[in-house]
Amino acid sequence: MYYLGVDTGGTFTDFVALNAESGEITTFKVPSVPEDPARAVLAGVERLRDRHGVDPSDIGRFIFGTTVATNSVLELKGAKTALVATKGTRDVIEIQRLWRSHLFDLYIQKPPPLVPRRWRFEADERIGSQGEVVTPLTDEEADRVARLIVDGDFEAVAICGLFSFLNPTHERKLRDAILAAKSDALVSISSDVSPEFREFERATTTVMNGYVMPRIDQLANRLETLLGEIGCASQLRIIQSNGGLMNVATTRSHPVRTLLSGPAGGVVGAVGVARAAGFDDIIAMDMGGTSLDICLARGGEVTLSTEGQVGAYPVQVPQVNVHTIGAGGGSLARVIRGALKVGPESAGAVPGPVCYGNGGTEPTSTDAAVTLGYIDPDYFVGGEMSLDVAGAKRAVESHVGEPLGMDAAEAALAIVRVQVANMVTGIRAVSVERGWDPRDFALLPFGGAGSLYAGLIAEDLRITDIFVPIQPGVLSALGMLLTDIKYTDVVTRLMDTDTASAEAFDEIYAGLEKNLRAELSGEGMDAGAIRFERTCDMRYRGQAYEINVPLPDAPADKLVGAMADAFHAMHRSMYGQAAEGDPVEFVNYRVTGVGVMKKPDLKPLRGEATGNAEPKGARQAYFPKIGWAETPTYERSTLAPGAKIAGPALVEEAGATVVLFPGHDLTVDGFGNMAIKVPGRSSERNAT
Amino acid sequence: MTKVDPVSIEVVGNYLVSAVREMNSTLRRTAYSTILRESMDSSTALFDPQGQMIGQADHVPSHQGSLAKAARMVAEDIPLDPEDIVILNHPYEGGTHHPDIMIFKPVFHDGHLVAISAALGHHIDVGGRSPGSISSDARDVFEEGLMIPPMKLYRKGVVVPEILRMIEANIRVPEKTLGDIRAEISAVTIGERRYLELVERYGREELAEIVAGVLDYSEALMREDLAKLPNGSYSAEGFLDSDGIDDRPVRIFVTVTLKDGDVVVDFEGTDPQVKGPFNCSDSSVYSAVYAGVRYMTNPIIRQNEGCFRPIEIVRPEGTVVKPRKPAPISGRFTTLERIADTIVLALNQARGDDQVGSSLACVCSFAANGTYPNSERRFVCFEIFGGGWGGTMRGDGLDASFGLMANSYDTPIEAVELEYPLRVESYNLITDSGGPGSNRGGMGFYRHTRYLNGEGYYTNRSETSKFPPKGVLGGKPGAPSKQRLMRATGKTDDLPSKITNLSIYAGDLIWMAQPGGGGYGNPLDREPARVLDDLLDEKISPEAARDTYGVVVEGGVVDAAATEARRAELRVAG
Repeated sequence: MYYLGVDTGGTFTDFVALNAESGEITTFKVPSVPEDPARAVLAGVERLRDRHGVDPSDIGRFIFGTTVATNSVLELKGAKTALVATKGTRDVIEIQRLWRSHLFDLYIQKPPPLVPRRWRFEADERIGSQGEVVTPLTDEEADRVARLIVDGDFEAVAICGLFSFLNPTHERKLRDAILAAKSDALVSISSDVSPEFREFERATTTVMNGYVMPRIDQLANRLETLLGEIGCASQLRIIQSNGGLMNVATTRSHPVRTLLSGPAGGVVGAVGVARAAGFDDIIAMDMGGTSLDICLARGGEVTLSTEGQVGAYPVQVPQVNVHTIGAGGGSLARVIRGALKVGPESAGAVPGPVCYGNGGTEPTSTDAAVTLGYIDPDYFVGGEMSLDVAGAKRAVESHVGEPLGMDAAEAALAIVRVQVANMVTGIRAVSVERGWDPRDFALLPFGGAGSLYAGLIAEDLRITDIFVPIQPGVLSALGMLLTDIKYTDVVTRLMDTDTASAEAFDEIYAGLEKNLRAELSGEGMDAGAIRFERTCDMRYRGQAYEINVPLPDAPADKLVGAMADAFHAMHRSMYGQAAEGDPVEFVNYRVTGVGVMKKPDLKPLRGEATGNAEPKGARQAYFPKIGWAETPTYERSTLAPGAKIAGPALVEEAGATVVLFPGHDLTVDGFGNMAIKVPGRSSERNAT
Repeated sequence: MTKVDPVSIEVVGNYLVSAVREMNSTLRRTAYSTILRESMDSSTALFDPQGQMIGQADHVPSHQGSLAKAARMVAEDIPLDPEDIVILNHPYEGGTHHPDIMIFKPVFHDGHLVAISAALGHHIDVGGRSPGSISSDARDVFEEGLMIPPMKLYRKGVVVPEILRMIEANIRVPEKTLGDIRAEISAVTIGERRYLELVERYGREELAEIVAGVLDYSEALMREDLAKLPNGSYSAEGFLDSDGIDDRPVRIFVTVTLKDGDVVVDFEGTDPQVKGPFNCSDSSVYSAVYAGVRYMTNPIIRQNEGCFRPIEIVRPEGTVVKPRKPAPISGRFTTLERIADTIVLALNQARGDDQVGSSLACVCSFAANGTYPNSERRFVCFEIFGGGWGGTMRGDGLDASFGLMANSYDTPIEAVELEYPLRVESYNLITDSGGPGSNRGGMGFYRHTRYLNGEGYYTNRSETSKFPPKGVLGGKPGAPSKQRLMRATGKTDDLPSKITNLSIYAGDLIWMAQPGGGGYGNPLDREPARVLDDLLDEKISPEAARDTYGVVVEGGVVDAAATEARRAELRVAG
């Protein structure tokens, strides 16, 4: 039997097939087909059959990741969607809480609402803040609204009523009226998509669900048809923003849950591989051409958040807590009035960095790396592309070196230093700013550009371990094979330290778990493979932002106190103070139901511990403090388990180079991962 | 300009920005009142030991210069020890207006003062004659609430509990306010931690040099942008509806002189100080001028003391912008918006086609006060609202936002209703509120709030009801603000823009229409397709499409010939 992970990106669709018996991994990429992503999936399954002898009927698990929904929001190419809102509130999604994203700009505009005003309707109904009906929704009113929707010929409908998260009856009645008038309407209701308070964020999330629903629906249909035709009977599962899997039916009804699944797959892959190698606490950084995604995992688990964003729009669904900044290989370096800026503007794919020779003239971070000798000009993307080193060097020299009075190498290093500082700021946002000390984590770079800079970032943050995983090019697809089915459910009920009891908690959590158990059993999970994670969102009475606290292990009579203590401690760690004497409120009770999938065992490499590795060559590279040095280069695929390399050195593979800085030591582990030790002494500032 | 290496300027500059943002997010997440936790009417900043602002979060512009002025006063006048925390709100001693309580924490390293970490939060109530402390008819600062001159709330890490008790005894909802003060302390503590990390990394002296370079760099960029505008003196006037006591307009007059990157803003011609609370404290005037000028420069310049250096301010004594104590000042925000808008209008004359229409030029502060059902407990609900911005050469004005001097979030309807016996019945854009133009002014909006329980009273401090935002280059004015009270009995009263402590009863509806921005360019030049879009979106009415924009729409499409004829007709009519 084979496990298959498929990740649809904008350019390539990645495949990872894992033989469940032997543990052998097959990976490849096929070109994506943006107008019909399922065709690329089919092409991959055919290739697997034709070239690797894998019968489609032998695929026992098929997991799929897609950015179709994400791209349709980013490109504003979603469905023609209608919004139905409580009377008096249809413009809430356009007013966008009055906020401006930045100051001192007379020309500023807000992001356009995904549903224009002409397609936003109001229903005369109202639920109050206790969940009581203030204005009943009459049958006539529901029918009137339904007719408007039918007449408008919408592809999707989103319904967001005030306080529907406390009382969903009006939203459901509207939905039913619309379905009665048009049985194939795609309707999303906010009490189902995002049952949390704050109407703007909830409405926007619900609108987004509708906005992407027809595309996802169509994709699911195509996939099921094509895979059925080729004889692949495996149940299809899709990776969601929380890093867990869901079935096709849930994907069709809740496509908004896939919006942030792109970075989630990579992070889950990184965490899975790192955990297998013994690194449970990691900061993963996925650096591509234009952006850097950063995520922190503790105890082998990624942290989740419900405050995410796609483009300029809030998305209120559980998601892997990924922080994205505009720092990539294509980030442009510019000197503006004597100061050096790198990014967030990017040269993009076209023209790309100067060294690509596609007409780029301004130096990028990649051009700096080429100038410093870090990237082999003849082995870029495995040699498929040859780089113009002289052009890169000229651009660095003339645009950065001359204005700052530096030679090309110094200027290139300055670009790297500024970019590293930007990346460090991003990493601090997910670590220090949330109360975690980065020194307690290993840094895990993946994506094309991350491993060039990991060493300098680690020095700056005093991180002593860097972990470069196997299969960096298809980590997202691999990650899909290493994760579980995950459904999260939430109930809001206000209690405080005076009124709460272990029994009340137990009743709430047991109720949530009952539903989740039924759902997971429906997916064929055995009782023994189901587990639950209980957490509670807590705050001081009067605050509005909660901290999500995992339920501590404590006997029933001590549970309430133990939860309060855990909350005080987290509050102090995150915010520098706690009010131990004040009442603490329990707000949202969350359970994640995990259907534990049998994970493939990653297969250790053949080969013996070899001690020092053999370089394949050497070239000049420029490093902080020591300047130019003849630097040995290694081919990653030839490194056997146990191989050791002392920096400075360059370890190359198709699509990525690891720069091993002076004083850093690298060891290859039994799976082929590379672990780098960075000296723990506080590095000197000038080191970067 | 201090010679610091360019990489360090960038690295440290960005670090400071991220540190002050983190301070502000800490404040929001730990705050108790809706005005801080939902609306974020707050600011956080770091200062050098001389009180020069070295980084401030991208939030309320009016706080930008204000905190700077107060920080300098703290740095100069108060002998600071490690772990001290200074509190103040006194408007004549560094403060802005009574509800803005500032917290300062000196940051020491090895016994040396290296920085001051600061937070400013707008508090829901600080006492005085009107709940929310925003009376529109106060005659002196004593009526406006509790004043706290600069004093140490913590001495060497130990709280002075008498100060908190004193505050508690003078305000209406102490459980919120004291929680919010704690949130401010959290924020300055985070600022201290972050700055000390920088000191650890760079060393005290080298860091001070780099920080000086960061300020010089912002100054250089400001001057470069300002020098692009033609030298000259440019004047403009703007009016407040009234001073809240006498029903006569209050005039703001500015003359802005540009010379090779230097700016002088002179208020000669501005009205004498007024009876009501629309005078401006020192720190407020500075912030309004800094912001008005800052809008002429690139938004990406890092905001710090360097941005202020090219600007000189001239204020005649005894005027609205330099009142004598104890003139009341709590409504100064309205005046600040008007000052900033007037500076922008003056500088329009230096900008050729690149002019902008007038913005809403007000912040509407709304305070309702009453009791909870079946309870003796009283509540104070304080909210702020905005309106539309002016159209520009590049496009329509921003819809529904705060004014030039503010940037906050609204309070979600659900947050209002969960917390108070109030019901928000409309929060929608207003058709035809954006000033017509080839680029339309931004739209205003309705906010209608029903009072649900027993008897209470409400205070409103608004503006722009008599002087709607001006259009430019042929653009028309935006819609003015309107305020009404619709009694449960069926009677409707039109109210002036400023109201203090008006009794309200269960079932009454407080009806507010927020202003739209002024238009840019002649509406007859607006592309018919954009007029049609506005019409289909009900952003303009059929009458406006036909009679103001001259666009004839039949069956959902533009009739090009009829439109041309209609426009010709309207042009002749002028």
